[in-house]
Amino acid sequence: MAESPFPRADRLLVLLVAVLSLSPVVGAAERLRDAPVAWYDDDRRPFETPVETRDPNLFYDFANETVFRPAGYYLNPVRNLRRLAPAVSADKPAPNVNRLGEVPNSSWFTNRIGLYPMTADEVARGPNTTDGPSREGGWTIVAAKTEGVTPGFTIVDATGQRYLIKFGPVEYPVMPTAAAVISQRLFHAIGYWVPEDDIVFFRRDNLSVSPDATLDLPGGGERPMNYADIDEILARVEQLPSGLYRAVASRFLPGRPVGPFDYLGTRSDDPNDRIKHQRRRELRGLKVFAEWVNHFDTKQQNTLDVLIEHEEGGHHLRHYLIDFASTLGTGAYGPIRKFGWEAVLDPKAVVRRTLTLGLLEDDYRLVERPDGTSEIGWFDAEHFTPQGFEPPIQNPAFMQMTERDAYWAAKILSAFTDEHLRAVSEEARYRDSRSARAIARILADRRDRICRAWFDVIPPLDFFVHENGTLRYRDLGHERGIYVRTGTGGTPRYRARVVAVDAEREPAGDVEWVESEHTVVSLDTAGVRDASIGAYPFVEVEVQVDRGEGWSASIRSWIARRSGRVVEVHREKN
Amino acid sequence: MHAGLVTPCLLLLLTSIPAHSALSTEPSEPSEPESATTVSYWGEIPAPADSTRIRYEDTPRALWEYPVDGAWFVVRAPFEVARAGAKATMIWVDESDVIHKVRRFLFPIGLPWGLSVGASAGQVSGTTLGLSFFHDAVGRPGNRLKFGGEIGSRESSRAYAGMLFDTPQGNSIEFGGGYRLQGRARFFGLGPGSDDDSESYYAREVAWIGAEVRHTLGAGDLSLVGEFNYTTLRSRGPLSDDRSVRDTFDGRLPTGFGQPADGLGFALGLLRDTTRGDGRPLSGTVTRLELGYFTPDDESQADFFNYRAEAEAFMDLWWDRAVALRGFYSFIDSNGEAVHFDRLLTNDDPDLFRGYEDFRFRDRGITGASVEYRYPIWDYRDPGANTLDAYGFYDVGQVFGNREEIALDELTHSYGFGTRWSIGNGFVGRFEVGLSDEDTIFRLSGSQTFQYDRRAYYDGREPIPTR
Repeated sequence: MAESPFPRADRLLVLLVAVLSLSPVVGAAERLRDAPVAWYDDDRRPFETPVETRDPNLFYDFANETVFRPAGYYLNPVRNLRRLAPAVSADKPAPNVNRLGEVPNSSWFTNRIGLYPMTADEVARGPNTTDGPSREGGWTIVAAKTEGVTPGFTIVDATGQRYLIKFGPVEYPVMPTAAAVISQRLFHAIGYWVPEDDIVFFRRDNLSVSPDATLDLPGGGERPMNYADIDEILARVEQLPSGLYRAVASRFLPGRPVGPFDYLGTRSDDPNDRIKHQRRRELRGLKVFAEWVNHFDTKQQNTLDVLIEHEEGGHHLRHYLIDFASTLGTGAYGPIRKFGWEAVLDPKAVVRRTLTLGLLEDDYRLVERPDGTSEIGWFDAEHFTPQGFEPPIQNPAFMQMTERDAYWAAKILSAFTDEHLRAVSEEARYRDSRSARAIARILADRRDRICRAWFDVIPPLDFFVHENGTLRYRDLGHERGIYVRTGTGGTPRYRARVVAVDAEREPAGDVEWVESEHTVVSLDTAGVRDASIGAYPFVEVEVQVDRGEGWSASIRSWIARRSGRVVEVHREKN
Repeated sequence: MHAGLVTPCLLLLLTSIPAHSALSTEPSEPSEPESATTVSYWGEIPAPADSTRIRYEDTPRALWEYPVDGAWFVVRAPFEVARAGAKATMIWVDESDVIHKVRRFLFPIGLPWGLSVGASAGQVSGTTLGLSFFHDAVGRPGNRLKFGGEIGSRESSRAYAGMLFDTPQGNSIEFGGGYRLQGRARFFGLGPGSDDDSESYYAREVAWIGAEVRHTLGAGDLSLVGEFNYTTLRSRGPLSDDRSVRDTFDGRLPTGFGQPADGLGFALGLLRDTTRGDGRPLSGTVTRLELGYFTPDDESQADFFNYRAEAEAFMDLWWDRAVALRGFYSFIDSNGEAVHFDRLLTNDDPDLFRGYEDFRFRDRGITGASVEYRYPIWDYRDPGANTLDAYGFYDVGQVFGNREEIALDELTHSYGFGTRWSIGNGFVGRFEVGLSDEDTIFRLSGSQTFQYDRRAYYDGREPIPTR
């Protein structure tokens, strides 16, 4: 028998090398640089090449996201090999993150409440530049659809602006329209591009039909619309005793819509689209925000790419999230219990229930509405478990969310105050004021639970600012009341170590921890003063927090000694 | 160690280090003065400038990923081809609207008629496929017509036609007729002690025509039910090579075997049903009392009375779990005369002993009880809207020639597990496994033991024996 060219020892060596090569020890961290931090993603460069309109098939998409893509993801050997190496995440870190761990502004995301204080009015206002369609001169209908549970039409107001008018089903006229507006405001404050949505009330007399208006027919096709069609549409929605109709008016986006974006891959006709979408931090972190408001309908059809023309020529794409009616425990048809808790097809859950003989109950069946709040869907905080969000069909970006992506999102989430949430809830214009108060309370409770869950993974010591030799940072979990409201009261303690380092992060010497009750660290230590600024141009500050359960993992920041800039932050996991 | 592997390993090691320098293009020095700034939680953030603008690139791959990915590409290539085919097919189906067109053909939108298909599986009839045409508004809404047929894989077939008229007051009248052939009907002998080894087969043909009237009494839960029918019954050797009844019971053939048994039947009963829908009842009861009479055309055969009492109850336990209880008692009183064997009572829908084969036991009387514990294991969207329940069950019962034969040691015991699917208030189907000391029985069925749909003439269920 011929000798095998790959003796056992060689095979083991190859395997060992392969495993080691995954280790971050082998791949050295990037050198420190005294350079400005990037805050703007240059992905809006104009280009001339045409962009095709995407029209993914919903039918195939369901099968693809439920079966094919998850199978490919979980069976991928590259991903599974990465899991073999310790301290290596199976999913690669998001590349569109600056050295402070933030997502620069881009055609996908604009930092708002996560980086800047916002007033309640600003959050409640959202992206809206108007109060909805102009009331003067009536609305002219230019297109309509009668198919489906929720009919609607497109109007042009007296200013020439187009709006999509959408109604709730007659059984639940308020529920989905309220959810749409509340979630739209929240996602705008978070930083996503969203349309301008508003609750509007109008009368039948306000409406007229354009001679060019068309009506979509069931099964495809269209025909000219007439006034009887308006009456048919309105006959299927609730009319208030005052004679008014309630709807959501969604302002048409500026630019040319070119279809949705896929959460997987990139768009081949967009030269600015250089990062696979499933790796973008803002799309991965969207899972945390979706969990917060139970936005289970995050399929690609609820996104929209819009082509923005440049005056000097060329265009670029802007990426929107749209249609938030399926949030806060409701769908287009009315309240929904299960979606957001479990995938449509979840064999593990079925087997679990079968084997436990019905003696354990699923939380989604126990969700209750607050008394007297029939305008709210199946949405509460008492039965809510953070990190348990499961959309009915899988989202590729959600599947690849890492703990640092989630922390980034939780950090933004923690910036919403109760006052913000109350102000946003009022925008829904519930008939019963208890509904607005209940929604605000539930959102606040869920916020606290989510933030607490992720702050327990990565300590929320953040926003390092250097000024005159003093480094100030914030304990977001304490400052924003997360730990107090979720049961860990008391005064946290902090400790820090300050040492001069070179660009390779090699320290100038050993240092001891210094404990404090404040989130302030002096950089003017003897060790730093003694270290040559040429040899050791940076200062490393390592901080930890103890909330009564021992010291947390470290958060490290590096400050350039010459410029005083905070040039990098690294967060370890508990 | 194989020298030839050292160099590639080292190369692999060295080239696996991600090229972070290619990850992004951050300039090292500001190239222009910074203009207006905003104050953030990080301090001042400058306005967009070359120094603060970055063009990100995707995460580069480690070299080792390429061969692994290449191998993965080869492995999954056939599945990708299949997926591409599935995608093209699904898109074509959707965009050509073929499902909608087929649905419009089978179930015309806006029209109250269409076609329905059904399937079931059992050990007597084998796998059966059925097709029926229905019209729910003959003359006016509520006047229903149905006719159809089914074929089974074990020499069985059925054809029927029926009409059902509902009145706004809750009354109904139905009439219809049908024909059924069971080429492998089974006979094990009579009595609770019939031997499993006596399993033998015969061909059974039955034709019927009849009518049933239901009159609602009082509040609407109580109905008076009247029925009459004419049935013809034939028995002969099996249509397969299985052991025949003649061979097994030579010299002691059951009463009436090989002779026609035609006659007229009447029944009068009271039915009280407080359940709402048969999908997933969580409360309510069903109670039925019935008295029937059969008179044969052939005066040499016995006429008889048939008594029946049946009760079911559904109880909501907790969290949408339910217990269903059922008890029944039926007895044929022929004043001591022998009754044609094929008109005797047997364990068939709905009086099943689910750990035993259908038609296993046969005699003048049958009694039994069932209990099911049902719990949901899957909802499509909301509990009860489109739900799959699991259930465990226990059946106990026996047949008897006279009441003195009812004894604990004669009782049969069955237990098992199943799943049932319901949509809204309607039951769709079930699959269950029943076990006993004698057998393991699998059933896939569109009918159920509880709330058994008694619409005999409209749905083409033969009224022999009266249930």
